[in-house]
Amino acid sequence: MKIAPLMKVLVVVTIVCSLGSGWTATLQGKEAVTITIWNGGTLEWDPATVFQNQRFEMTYPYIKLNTLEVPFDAHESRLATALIMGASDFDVSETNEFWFGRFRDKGLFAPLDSIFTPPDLKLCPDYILEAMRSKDGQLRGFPHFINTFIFLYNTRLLEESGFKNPPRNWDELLTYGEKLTKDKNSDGVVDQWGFAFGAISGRTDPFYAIQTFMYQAGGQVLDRQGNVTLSEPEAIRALEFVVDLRNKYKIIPPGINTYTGEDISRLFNSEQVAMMLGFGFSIDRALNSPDSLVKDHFAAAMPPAGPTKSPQTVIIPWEYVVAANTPHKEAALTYVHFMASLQSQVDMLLHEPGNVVPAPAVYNYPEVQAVPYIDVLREVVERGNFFIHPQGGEILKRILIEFDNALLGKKTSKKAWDDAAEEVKKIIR
Amino acid sequence: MIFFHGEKSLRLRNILTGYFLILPAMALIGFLAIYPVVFLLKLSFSKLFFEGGLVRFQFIGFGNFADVFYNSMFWTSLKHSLYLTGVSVTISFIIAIAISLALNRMVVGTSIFRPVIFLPYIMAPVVTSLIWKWLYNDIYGLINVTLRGLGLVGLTHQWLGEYGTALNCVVVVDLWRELPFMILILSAGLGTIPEQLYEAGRIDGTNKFQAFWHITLPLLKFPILVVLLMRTMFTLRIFDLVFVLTGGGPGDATEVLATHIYDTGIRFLKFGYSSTVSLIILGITFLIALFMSKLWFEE
Repeated sequence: MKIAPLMKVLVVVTIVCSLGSGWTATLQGKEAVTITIWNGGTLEWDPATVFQNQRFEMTYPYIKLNTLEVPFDAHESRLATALIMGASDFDVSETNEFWFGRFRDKGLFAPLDSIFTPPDLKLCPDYILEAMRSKDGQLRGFPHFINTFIFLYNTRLLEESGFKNPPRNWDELLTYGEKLTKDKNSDGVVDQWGFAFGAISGRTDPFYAIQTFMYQAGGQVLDRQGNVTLSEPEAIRALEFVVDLRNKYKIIPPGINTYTGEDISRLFNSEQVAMMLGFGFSIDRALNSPDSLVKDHFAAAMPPAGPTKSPQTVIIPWEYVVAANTPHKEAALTYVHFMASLQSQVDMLLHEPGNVVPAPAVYNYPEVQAVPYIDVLREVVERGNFFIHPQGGEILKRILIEFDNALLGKKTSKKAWDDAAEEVKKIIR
Repeated sequence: MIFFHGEKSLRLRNILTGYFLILPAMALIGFLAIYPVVFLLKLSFSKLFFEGGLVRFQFIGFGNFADVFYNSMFWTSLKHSLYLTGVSVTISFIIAIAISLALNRMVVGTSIFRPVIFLPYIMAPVVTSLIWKWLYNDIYGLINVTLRGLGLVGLTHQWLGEYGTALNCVVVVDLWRELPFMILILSAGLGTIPEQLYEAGRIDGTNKFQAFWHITLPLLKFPILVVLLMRTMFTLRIFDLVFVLTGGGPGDATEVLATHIYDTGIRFLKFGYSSTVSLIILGITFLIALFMSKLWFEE
């Protein structure tokens, strides 16, 4: 029989393959496992994550990563649905501070304390770390990078208008903005706007923008004791300033309440906007977008200081969380620990221009000194502030409605913030 | 085992066999349609809370209904939904019937014209919304660029960013997107009307309007009821278009019931409340369907 030798070969091959896979599976004495990661958005714009994932799989060959690109607009609803239905659709997910705040105290994220040692915890400033803890004091998430609101300006356009430095305060912002807002062909339509920021209705963008101005004016939504401080003079002053930028000084496009941060980035890259306040990734877009006209003549800075005379900005921590019901808890925790490590934070700075990392120590590394605007990024972490609340979504909604009411002249800034304060009080009561 | 004898038994067996054959379909419908409604009812009378990482339900009677009643956002959303539905369905119906009549009389080019008309309907709603969002953009959007090109700068607007225009912009997109569906159903209905009736009318001396009023409209009653009912249901629960185009803004100018449900359920985790609003939409739709069915069956 001719088939018999062939069968023998097949049996030997099968045994060898089985042994091989068994060896792989028990590599480092661990069972092979695949964990599902929900990445916020496309990996095309997350080269650091791609690089870190490859490094992770080499370091931990028994853990395979199934990274899913979840669109930003769908991430929130998917997260809520999976967590509430108790589905184990993901083992690890990225969250921003709004989504995280909502679930932090509900026991749906696994505690991370078992894997983060005291030296690890030094990789994140205390004020951020405190926000990552649930009411019972357990660590429920760990930021692996921070998005931020940063000020970008077109150096060529500023120089053409006689400005060598970026505006350092609100008064200078107005002066610059008025000079940089131009109707170049005198057709009654502005072709170049002095300043812009994304303030699209229904998203978080306008909240970050208004928060930045509020911090600069010394205001905030809630104080440390949880009292609503929206109707305090500082917060009202900030809103008045923003509204005046559009309606009185007319240095920002009137349609900013329909623009996302990405839209503003595009307008800046096409030189239709001379100065912008936007997400840190705008640096990456300005440097690397194929259609960017500003690649070699833009710069980043802290946003101009307000009445507090101290530049302030908003930070948006993006943390990894582990689903409480994951069957792969150990592997998931290992991944989060790896992604929050010092080396991963260095990689993040090196691979994704504009992203900020939480560990202050990273900014002293020699290899990151060549990262564009590293001093600005360091300052952002030192001066950044953010808002996190279990009912953040509801609070945000109310604030944004009143923000539009003020911006579009339906209410005065004071009336808008007074009304918002009343609504926020009802929400947190 | 049951044995049947005689004519009566045969009939009974046929009936039972019939029920047996539709049982899988009924079970599927029961699972897919009835169970969710029952669950929705349960949620509407409950408050959800988390205990040890698990979701628990607590019966709170009509608590959610009271919350809905006293929530100004609900009334704003309801008002916008009814406006959107009323205006969009009415205008699209008038345009659809006009186009259907024209298509019905067209001799040349119908094979090209019909698929072209249907294009908006086969596009994904999110894609449609994104295209229109670009058209409405105040700086580089085609509408404002065209108006500026024609020297009509005064007519330009921040279409999606102004209180006065945002909701009407949503109406326009909804109308544009849903028009083909109405044209399709109405055209099919028009195709079933025998030509002899019009000929008889002409012999009796009817003019075109009388022919439309006394022949076309009565014989189109069923397709009209179907399109009006379905369009009303579709528009009343519209979400994707508003979510992508305006996100409910500016302010709450385009907040509709579905975005309100999304916000309160997914963003605020008030599932009891959002289920109650869903139940109210279900109730409104049911009443409209009942009213239209009554019109239909009276005939």
